[in-house]
Parts: sequence; structure tokens; C-alpha cells
Amino acid sequence: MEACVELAGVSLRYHRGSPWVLRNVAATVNPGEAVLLTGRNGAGKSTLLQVVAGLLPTSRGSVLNRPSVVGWVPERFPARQPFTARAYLEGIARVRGLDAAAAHEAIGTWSERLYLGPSLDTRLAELSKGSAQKVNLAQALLVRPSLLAMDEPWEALDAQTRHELPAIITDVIDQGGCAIFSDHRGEAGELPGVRRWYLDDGLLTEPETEHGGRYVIEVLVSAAESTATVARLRAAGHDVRGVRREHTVHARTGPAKRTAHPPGEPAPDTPPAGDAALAPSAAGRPETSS
Amino acid sequence: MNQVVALSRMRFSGYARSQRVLAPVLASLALLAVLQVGGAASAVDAYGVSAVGLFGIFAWQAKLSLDTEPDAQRQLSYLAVGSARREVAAGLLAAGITAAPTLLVGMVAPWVTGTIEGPLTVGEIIGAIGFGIWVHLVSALPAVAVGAFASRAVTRTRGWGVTLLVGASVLVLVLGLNGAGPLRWLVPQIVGAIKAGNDGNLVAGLVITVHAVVWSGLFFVAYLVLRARRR
Repeated sequence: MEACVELAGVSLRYHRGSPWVLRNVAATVNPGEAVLLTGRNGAGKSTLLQVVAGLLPTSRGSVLNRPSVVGWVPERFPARQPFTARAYLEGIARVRGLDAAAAHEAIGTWSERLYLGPSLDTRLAELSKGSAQKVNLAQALLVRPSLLAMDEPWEALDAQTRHELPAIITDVIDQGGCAIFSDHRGEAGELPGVRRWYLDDGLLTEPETEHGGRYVIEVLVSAAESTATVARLRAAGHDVRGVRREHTVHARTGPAKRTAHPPGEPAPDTPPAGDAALAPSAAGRPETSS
Repeated sequence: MNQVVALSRMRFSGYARSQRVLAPVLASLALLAVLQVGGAASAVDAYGVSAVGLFGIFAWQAKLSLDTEPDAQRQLSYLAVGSARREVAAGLLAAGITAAPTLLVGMVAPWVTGTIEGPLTVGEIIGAIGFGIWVHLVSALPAVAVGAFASRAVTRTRGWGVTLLVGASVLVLVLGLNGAGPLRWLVPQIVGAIKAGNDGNLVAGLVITVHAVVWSGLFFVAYLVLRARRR
């Protein structure tokens, strides 16, 4: 399998004689992988992300196989520009090569998914920090990136959008892309199977994956397929903890509730209107929790 | 190509909507007022003086248009447009477009102020306009190259950028004079273009045009080389 992006002995320092920020970094991100970059403040995480994205040239070594469509989310969005959010995103969409109709559609999709709609006609300089960060995310996603590099993408986001971001990353890697990002808030814990890179003093290490950790995957299937699905999963050696009917009870106030069934007892009927609780973000993806 | 045009449009739009656009516009109007009001001159002299004076304005506008975009946005633009060459081309195109309104004002000003001595025949008017466009282009093309070279993406610091901009503008005037001898070929021959225009010397005009294109090309190449490592 060809790497999504490969760092081959990458070293970097900003000026001749200055200390090395990255030292002989060798690593590969494969298609379908997400990498969480960790390290203390000033360890070089932002520098490495910019190198991966192609924004900083290396002093030694090279970055191989970088795909042509790269989405980059800088730590601070450059909001001091004389555009509204909509005009800015339209401009970027056209620069990305979309025609007017496709640009309009992409902006509609991402403004809905990132809950950006009410801010679209606000000037960038007047956006709140969180809304500016949403524009920051949207500009990187208008055309589906094959490589998504993000520097602290969860920063300043509201709760809704924070929970949406893992699903967005999952979408990118499910389509054969890859993602690499930093996250000092620990929000990336919602992402199953994320690789963790640790950067310290310019040296990159990848700690052993914690094999003891396991994930709970919730899978929605039709009632007719449920018994067979349980059998297949058990046959594959998975521990099926329970099966419940997807039955969402809409209370007058408060969150939706779901009714559960005992393990091994397939739901008797098809899900009623419960799918709405997962729309739009989780539709088409396994919903996960750990 | 469409992506390059889209990026240059976005950049020019950002510059035109910013307050940065005001200073060079006011400066060019003030400069043209000083140069053109109250005197009478031939079309060649009026346009020649205008082109020499506007060199610094053209360069300043090019630098400002490139510097308006925040550094972080320049990186986003580079990734959005997909290649360093396209990003640089879009910037230079936007910088070049900034010269157009100033060039237009420079072309119209001597007629509005009545500086150009008349009456002129239709042929003389066409000749005057042709010379005016040519001498302003001989000024604008190298000036845009200097402005790009003085932009923040290359110089990193405001001090170096301003020094380069002012230095080039002064040298164009000082070295461009006949007294500079062979050294005058170190700068675009805008002053020399006035003499060529007055003499009706087409060969000299061709040499001056080629020199301006080569001189600008060297700056553009240097800009491209430096920008290849400075995103």
C-alpha cells in the first residue's frame, strides 16, 4: 500500500546555527489512518504539521507522497480580512477549482455540519473565536482533502461542533485519506484507532499502542438482519454485549432516550423515527464510544 | 488558470476593500497635481514626467496588494490553489492589476489639467496616447517587479521592504539621468524614454522596452526563487 504521506529523515531548523526543531523524523501515515500528534508546548508540533502540509521546506530529508489536495487548519485563523464568512468561503471554493454551483453546495453542506449558518454573513473580523474556527475548518474541507492536517482544531469550538469533528475526521479517512492533528484538550479520545505520535526535543516516537484498551462500537442494522449480524460478529470472535431496539423517545424537554433490550434478544421491529437522533453527522458511520 | 484568476481576484478584492488602498491613491493624485498643474508641456514630456513620478507609486501599490493578505492566509491560498507557481502567479497578477487604475489616471491627468500643449491633430493625439501608454508600461512593469520583491513574503521585515522600495524609486530617478553614464542601464530607462520620445527614435524605444522587460524578468525570477522557500 502506498503511503498517504511519508516523512523520510526530516530535519528542520529555521536559521543556520539555530537549534534543530525537528531531528531526523521518519514516519509514515497510511491511507485510512488518523494520527494524533502530542508533545509539550514548544516541542515542534506546529512545525511538524506545517512540514507535513507542505508549508515549511525541510532543512534535510523530504516529505514523500503528499497528496495533491491538502486541507490545512492553522492554529489561528487569519480573520483580519475584509470579507464576510460566506464571501471568503466562496473565494476559497473557487480557488479550489469549484464552479459557482458546487461552491454554493459545499458551503451549504459545511455550514450546516459545522453549525456555521447564522455567522455566514458576518464579517470575518467580527466573528467570535469559535465561529472563526468553524470557518477555519470549513475552508479546509470545501473540497474533500486526501490529507487533512490540523493544528489544535478543537480550540474554541462549541460542544456540538467539538463532537462533530471526530466524525469529520472519520469521514476523511474512510474515503481513503489520512489525517494528522494536534490536540492538547484530549478531544481526540473519541476517535477509535487513532495513532499517537509523541514529539519531544525534535525527536518523534510512536509509543506502543495500548492493546489493553478496547472500543465499544454501536452498529445500526435493520431488524431483519439483526440476528444474522449478531451471529456473524460472534463467529468472528467479537464480544456482543447486547442488542437493543433503536427506539427514541422524544421527551417534551431534555435529551432523547432510547430503550434497551437484553443481550441476545434482537429487536422485533424496524427502527421508527430514531434515526433522526443521529442525523446528520453520524448517518452512514458507526457510532462509537469508549 | 481559472484557479489562478480566482485567487488573484480574491487578493485584489481584499486589497481594494482594505484601507491600504487609500494612501497610494491619494499620493498619486497629489503627485500628478504637482507634476501636471500650472505648466504647459509637450505630450511626451507630460507623460514622461508622469511615468517617472508614478514608478514609486506603482511599486508601492504592488507591495501593498501582496502584503494585505495575512501570512497565514497566504499559506492557505497556496494549498487551495495547489502549487507554488500558481500562488506566485496569482499574486503577481493581482499586483499588476493594481497598477491599471493608476496608469489610467496618469493617462487622463495631463488632458484634464490642460498641461499638454495644443491644438493637436487627431494623429498627434493618437501618437501622444500611444507614447503615454508605452512609457507608463515601461515604468509599471519594473515597478511591479520591485514591489513584489519588496513584499513581506520575501523581505520578512517592514524595514527591508521599505528600504528596497524607496531605494529603487530613488535610483530609477538618479541613475536614469543622462549624467549617470553607463550606470543608467542598472535601472529601467524611463527618463531615457522621454528623450527617445522627443527624438522620435524608435530603435532607442525598442532597446528601452527590451531592457525594461529583461530587468523586470530578472526581478521576477529572483522573486520566484525566493518565494519557493518562503511560503
